[in-house]
Amino acid sequence: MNAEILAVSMEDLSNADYAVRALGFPFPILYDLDADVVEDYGVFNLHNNNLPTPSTFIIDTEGNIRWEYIGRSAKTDRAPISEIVAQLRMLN
Amino acid sequence: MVEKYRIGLTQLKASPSPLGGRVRVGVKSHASNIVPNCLIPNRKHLVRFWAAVALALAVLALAACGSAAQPTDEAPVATVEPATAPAATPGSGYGSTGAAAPETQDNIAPKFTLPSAAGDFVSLDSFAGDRNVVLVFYRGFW
Repeated sequence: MNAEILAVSMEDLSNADYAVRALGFPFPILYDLDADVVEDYGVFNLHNNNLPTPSTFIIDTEGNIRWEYIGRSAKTDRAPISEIVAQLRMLN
Repeated sequence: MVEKYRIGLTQLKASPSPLGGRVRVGVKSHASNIVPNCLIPNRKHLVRFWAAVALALAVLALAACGSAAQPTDEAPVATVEPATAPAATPGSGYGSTGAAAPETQDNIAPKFTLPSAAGDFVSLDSFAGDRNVVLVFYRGFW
């Protein structure tokens, strides 16, 4: 499956770096401390907590957003992994 | 009048059967000759209540039709990916979810370059023409 996962948080490096190293994620963990990118994608503070709203975007090789999932709750609602995989399969 | 109306309301909430509620109201009042008076506003209220329910159901049905119609409308457009629309609907996330206008130019992903935990910088451009990207925003420390 031809896809790269990019995880973005507004996490401070000092907070997340330890977890990232400990868990060894096989994909880049990115930091958007000023929420610039989070705001560009329209998912900042949708639940009035000054945090990114859990959300997933699938961007194709031409830079188009092909699918998106914006979490309905601030904590628990995430895009189903099976759905992400299914969407990626359709792109390839 | 107001009090009777209130009785009607509590009665509706309390008992699943409106008829059962009416009897109770009559008993509570301890005045058998008031019962017909109680019944008349109750009937009106019940009519209004069921009218409201019917209206709400009608609105719901319209909304359901609208949302059900959307995927079928989109399906012919996305001829390459007929499975896209049905697959997208179960998500129905906070704002929107699903195949966001698959082949249009209106959904260009905002470009970015961000520092990574590995100490380098990663930009969306670096995957262009090469790999699809699953961009995940997460909440972070909590």
